[in-house]
Amino acid sequence: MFKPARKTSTITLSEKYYYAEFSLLEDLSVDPKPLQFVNIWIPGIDEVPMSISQYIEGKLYVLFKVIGEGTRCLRDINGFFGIKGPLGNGLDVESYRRVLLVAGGAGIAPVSILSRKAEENGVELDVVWGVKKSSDLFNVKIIAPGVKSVYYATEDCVIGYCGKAVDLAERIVNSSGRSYDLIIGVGPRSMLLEICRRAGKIADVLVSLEAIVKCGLGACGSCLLKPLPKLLCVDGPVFKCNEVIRHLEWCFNN
Amino acid sequence: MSGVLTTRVAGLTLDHPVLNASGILGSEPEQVDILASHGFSAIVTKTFTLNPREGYNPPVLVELRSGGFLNAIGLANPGVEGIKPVVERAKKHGKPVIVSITGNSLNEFTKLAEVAEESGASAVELNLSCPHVKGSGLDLGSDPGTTHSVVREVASVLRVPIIVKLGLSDRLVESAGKALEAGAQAVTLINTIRALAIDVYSFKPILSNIYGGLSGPPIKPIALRLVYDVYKEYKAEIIGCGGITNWVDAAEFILAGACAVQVGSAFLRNRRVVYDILEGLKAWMRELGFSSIRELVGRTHR
Repeated sequence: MFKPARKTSTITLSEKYYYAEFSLLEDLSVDPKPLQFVNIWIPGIDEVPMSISQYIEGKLYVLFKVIGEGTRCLRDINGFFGIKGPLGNGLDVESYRRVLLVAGGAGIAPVSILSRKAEENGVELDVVWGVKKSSDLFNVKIIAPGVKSVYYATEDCVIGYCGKAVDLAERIVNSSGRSYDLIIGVGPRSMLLEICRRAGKIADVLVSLEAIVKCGLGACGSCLLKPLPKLLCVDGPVFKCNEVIRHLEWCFNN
Repeated sequence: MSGVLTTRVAGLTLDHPVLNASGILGSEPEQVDILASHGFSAIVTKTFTLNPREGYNPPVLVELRSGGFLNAIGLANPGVEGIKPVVERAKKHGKPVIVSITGNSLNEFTKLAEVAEESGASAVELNLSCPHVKGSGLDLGSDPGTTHSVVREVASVLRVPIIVKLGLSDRLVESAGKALEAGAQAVTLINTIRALAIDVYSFKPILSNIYGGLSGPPIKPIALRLVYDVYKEYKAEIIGCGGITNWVDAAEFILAGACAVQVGSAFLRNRRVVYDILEGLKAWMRELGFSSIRELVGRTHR
């Protein structure tokens, strides 16, 4: 079912990223967990899966970049949209004490709800965020004030660590006094594969995957995580590394 | 050893009467793994067409406030080449596999049916009732004459059993009769029903294809009526399909004349639905003192 929602504002966070606020006319059926997603229907145009950035008191926030007509409408039109979800399985952050989010690009999207849930449960959250161009960056604490430390990596080397998020995360994890009991990777598959290869043995590592989600309900099969008998929309998007490493390797080789 | 739930349809012996409905997964080997791991007694593939189809743009599926689903996936499938891998995977799980096909010409039907048989299909289900693809589907099955020609043509090239899936139309009972006369061993009743949903805030139809097929609990009494009518007329072998959500629904279809049932929408809400139905059916039979589900097929007509 699409819950009707009026888009009330779009904030420009950086050259690339936008943050949209929706007022839902009916509450979501359940309170979403971090890393769950919604499908946003842009009437007459498209339906796009989006990670839930935040959900508080009937207001839903998503972070996105413009990649097609659907996301352009999401940025430019303040009208009625439809919200399907929350979809997939989320993360229960309360069972951990110190969490590190390693985000690549738009993988930073769930940081708002993750930091709120962490704060509510007395969990410490640090963030490593890597982007290609420094003009993609914005201050993560604007949308996630509960985060303890944020570390930035840029591939154009203008701001923060010069290189990739995974390399920066490895340095932080290896530096003294930093013991995380959970590492969460959200971003491109190549990044997730690297995280699983390097960190799979030192802590609980979860990765949040992306796939082409069409129906979102486990019927059409478009989000099949080949060669595994798993669907992202039903079984994911969050997995332990050992559950999906074969999928990540398969994508890398194909 | 045959159990209390063992049934037979179109020459296939099934451990129990619950199959998946075509269109729920079933176009890739890994999707067959998923279906097999949720207890269905046979695998019914997604409908294959000769050429690959991308399917429609989203939205392709929406849950309705009535409890039904409206879908127009658009027969997305990898084309004829995709049949063999899917059949082989189902066989690995030791399950009978029913390959669903549709076409725009007699030639396409026979080509697909031959590939299905060569790939090892246990049976072929002719989808003559997709409600949202022009030129194939419902346009065929709603006409008894066309139904007869398609089935006869396919029957002339196949040794494996033919099942014909029909949809709601004024002449459904007649079409079912023609399908049986032309060589179908069984009929699957019914496909989704052509329908529409509109968003009242944007004034737009929700599905990108505008029209879709309605499934789920709202169509169950309609499907049940058609199973009842076709059984009454021909004592045919019927696979019941349409809104079956729990064991009572399944039991109703069996009493109306179905020797097996297919479950689609309910699987989207409850991944344990097959086991729930089987437990309920067993308890029901114990209560009534029946030792074989086959004794209950069509019982309402006695």
